Amino acid sequence: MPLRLLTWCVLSFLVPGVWASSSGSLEGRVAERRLPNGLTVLVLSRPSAPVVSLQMTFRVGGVDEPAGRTGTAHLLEHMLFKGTPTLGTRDWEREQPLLLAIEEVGRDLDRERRRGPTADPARVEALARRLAELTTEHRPLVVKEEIDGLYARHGAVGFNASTSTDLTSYTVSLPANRLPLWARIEAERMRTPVFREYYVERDVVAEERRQRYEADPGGKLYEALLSTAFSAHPYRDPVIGWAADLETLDLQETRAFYRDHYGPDNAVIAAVGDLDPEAFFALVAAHFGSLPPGRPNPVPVTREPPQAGQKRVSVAFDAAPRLAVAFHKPTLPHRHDYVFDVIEAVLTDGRSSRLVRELVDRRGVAASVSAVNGLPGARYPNLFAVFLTPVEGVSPEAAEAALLEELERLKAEPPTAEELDRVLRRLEASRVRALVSNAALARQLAYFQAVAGDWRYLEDHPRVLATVTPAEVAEVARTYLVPTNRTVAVLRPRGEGS
Amino acid sequence: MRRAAVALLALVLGGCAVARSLDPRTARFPPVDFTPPAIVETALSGGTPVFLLEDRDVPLVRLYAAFRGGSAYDPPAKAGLADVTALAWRTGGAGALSPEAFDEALEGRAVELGLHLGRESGWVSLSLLPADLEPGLDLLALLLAAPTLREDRVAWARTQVAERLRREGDNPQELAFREFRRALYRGHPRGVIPTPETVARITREDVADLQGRVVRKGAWALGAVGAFDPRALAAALEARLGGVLGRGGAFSPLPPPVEPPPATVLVPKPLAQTTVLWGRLGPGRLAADFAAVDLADHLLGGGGFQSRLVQEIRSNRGLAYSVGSFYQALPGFGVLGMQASTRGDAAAAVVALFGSVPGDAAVHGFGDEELRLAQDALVNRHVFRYEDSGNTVRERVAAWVDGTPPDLPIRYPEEIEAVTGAAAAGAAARFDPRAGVLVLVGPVDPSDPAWGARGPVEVVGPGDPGRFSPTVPAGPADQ
Repeated sequence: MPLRLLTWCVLSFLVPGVWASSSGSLEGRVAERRLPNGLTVLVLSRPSAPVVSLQMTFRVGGVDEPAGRTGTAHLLEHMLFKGTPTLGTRDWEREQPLLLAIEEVGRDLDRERRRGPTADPARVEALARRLAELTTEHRPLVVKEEIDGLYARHGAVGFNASTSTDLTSYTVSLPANRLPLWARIEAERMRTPVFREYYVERDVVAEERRQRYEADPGGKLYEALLSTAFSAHPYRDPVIGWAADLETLDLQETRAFYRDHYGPDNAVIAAVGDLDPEAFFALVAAHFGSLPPGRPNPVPVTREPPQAGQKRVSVAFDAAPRLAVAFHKPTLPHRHDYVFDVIEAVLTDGRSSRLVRELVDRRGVAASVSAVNGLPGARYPNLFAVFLTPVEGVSPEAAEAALLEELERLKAEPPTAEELDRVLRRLEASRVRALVSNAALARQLAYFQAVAGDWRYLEDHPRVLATVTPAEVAEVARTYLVPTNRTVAVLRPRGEGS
Repeated sequence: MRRAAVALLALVLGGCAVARSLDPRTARFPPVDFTPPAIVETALSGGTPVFLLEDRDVPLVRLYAAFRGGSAYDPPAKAGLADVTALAWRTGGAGALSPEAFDEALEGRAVELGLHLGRESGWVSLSLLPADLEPGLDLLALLLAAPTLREDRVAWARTQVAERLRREGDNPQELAFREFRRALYRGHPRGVIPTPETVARITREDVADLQGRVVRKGAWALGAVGAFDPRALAAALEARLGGVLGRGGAFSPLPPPVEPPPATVLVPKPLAQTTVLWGRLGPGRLAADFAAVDLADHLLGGGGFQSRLVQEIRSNRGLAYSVGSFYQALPGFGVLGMQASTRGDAAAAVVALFGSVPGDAAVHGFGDEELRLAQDALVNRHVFRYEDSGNTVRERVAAWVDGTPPDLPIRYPEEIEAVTGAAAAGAAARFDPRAGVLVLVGPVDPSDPAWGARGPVEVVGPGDPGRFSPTVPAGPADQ
């Protein structure tokens, strides 16, 4: 699990202040309630300014999509901004039949397009024209982005959402006295979302894919790394979806995905800021308490078979070279995941870390290097990866060799007591720094509740890390950082031997 | 127990009442009432102002130091000097401590020390746990007063900066803004762009000279927020920095740039998408029409999903995921513009919409409700500047270095409230792509005559900033 996801905690014993209560523990600071329908609510009261940050996280992401429908979770995240029967519409009664007609024509068009070379061009053109006509007819009935507008009017910041392989989250921060507005809007869009403007939004997502993956060397390399490292597990698929899937993602199937995964028993609400926990619980119960539980996860997830040998992938792109090296490993709460958190920090956290000092500073091989534990998610066994950009004049092969040499050194020369002490101190300080942001606190609480099943993972994490020994680091390195478990992805300029 | 149960029941029932009755479209809430904590103002014996805010909410101390000086003052033949200096200064060790020993001293205590030189001003930041305040200040003072600036570290910094320049061409957005700045600031010191050749000319003596001038004549201001005693911290700063930081004298404010004639820059690159960027110069933060332009920017594209460009280009047409407008107001001038990333065959349509969407607002104005919503949004969210008390201190420090009134951020809501519909429409007229600089990066065809419609067209390669002569200045701004 990535250390950067753990950039907060409480060290209240350091100085007297708000965080001094409950002997340095979040227990007693975080109020917790579980509604009868399974919705988990976490509240951390912090009245330093009259604002509140809210995070609603669902334990569903790209990993839950069936084959051929990659990108569904992410597109659904976009659709949840489109409103409800009372928000985003000027006349719901008139809008409903139009939405049905748009869906029907859109589905027929997608079916025809899926035929590929055998599609009837005349039928495609006719259906596309009809879809455009219906979309134009529908537009006057829509109040564009009304939820965003309502939040904005009331001073919201950070109204956004994100989808990962593991989770989907909706976030907003509001002046503290606007919580009833939040509860009213969020409960309604969770209960009765309306997927209006679906086909236009699908085009927007196609543009997002072009921007993040197809026009960006980092995105391109990352996509290649995952799809090579994972042969069977859905962690191989990009969260935004493969372009071919995205082109004809079906509205009915997207709606079914919503019904299956967006139940209150699959959700966590975290609120941090100037609010009273009991009043907030009451507000949430009043608005969300009658939501029915969702269906159990119906999609079996294929287990990734053990890797039998090194994998390599080369990507040609109009950019300077960069590379990534990744290794399969267990996820939390496996003890070795904690050890990899230590390894990540020893290798690239700070200018004194091993890879930064050796490869960037002393040998001048790399312009930058960073290690990440826990890609692309943490609900299933994942990857430990190192990303490196070679400096001009250093080939990707030479940079890779230098990197592997340093990883080998970890086996023979485990971190010293001084290195481990520095790792723990920096982790401690980075957690305190993250306390400044209500939104970051809310995000972390919701994340660990959803992924680890209990936000208290945060409390245990530093204690477990403090027990990791140098010998254990070396042993874990010898077990996992081996050629047969390795995937190497290299991005090279077009025409350079790829 | 029974009383508590009754109270809880009342809360739940109250919640139910809210659940039934609140209409998001008509809901109104009173403004939140908040009085920000007062900043303690003092000064070092050398005259450097110090702004201190004790805040024990989080057990942390954050110190900010700002100064005048930056890349806009680089000699054109050695453009990149500020970047190389910042890197060599921060990573080169200090006093008797080698670079490695200095970093270990910081990181062994989990102290974060940052040093950045911007265009016309720079920052040093220090973040540490309260128990490490004294040794952290010692290391800061050592770095400011006695940096080593070793020859090998200067060489390393040159390599790093050159590498950064090389990779600028890999990111379409970065590339577009680089070309935008180069064309917009043509003839102004901000327009001098570093190249591998100018970076290669930078010597250890150049770096030492700039570092010395920054410390002795950089017109510094200090600020701190966190868990400390203000008087004790003021004394600790005086003991370490009182005789180190100068009052100023170097790096006088530059004259504002002059807007160039309309120009189009094409950067053909085989990508899946075209980045379209347009912009021009605008009013500065102290100008009378600052608030009107800020509000117009929010309404046109800076205000997210509700804004006109986002609705038309993204929501109605599905032409872009990333689209919007921007406005950055510096003390003496501003930069405003519009940006989108779209598929190759839609670039011309997006450029046309960059003209018609603001043009419609300029001619017909914004709706009353639309205007009210935007004003409410900007005013109501102002309270978030107090979520992190560090913002208040950073603003004071920056205002001193920029020479702007310290209460400017506090006056912002009143300024926005005072903007009339006519003023907002007039400000929208500034977003006129017939003027200014248009840049396209991606699969653009330079032979397409359409690109020449608004004036001269310049076609450039993505990875060769060195092609520009230093006597034809071009380069980065603050976007």
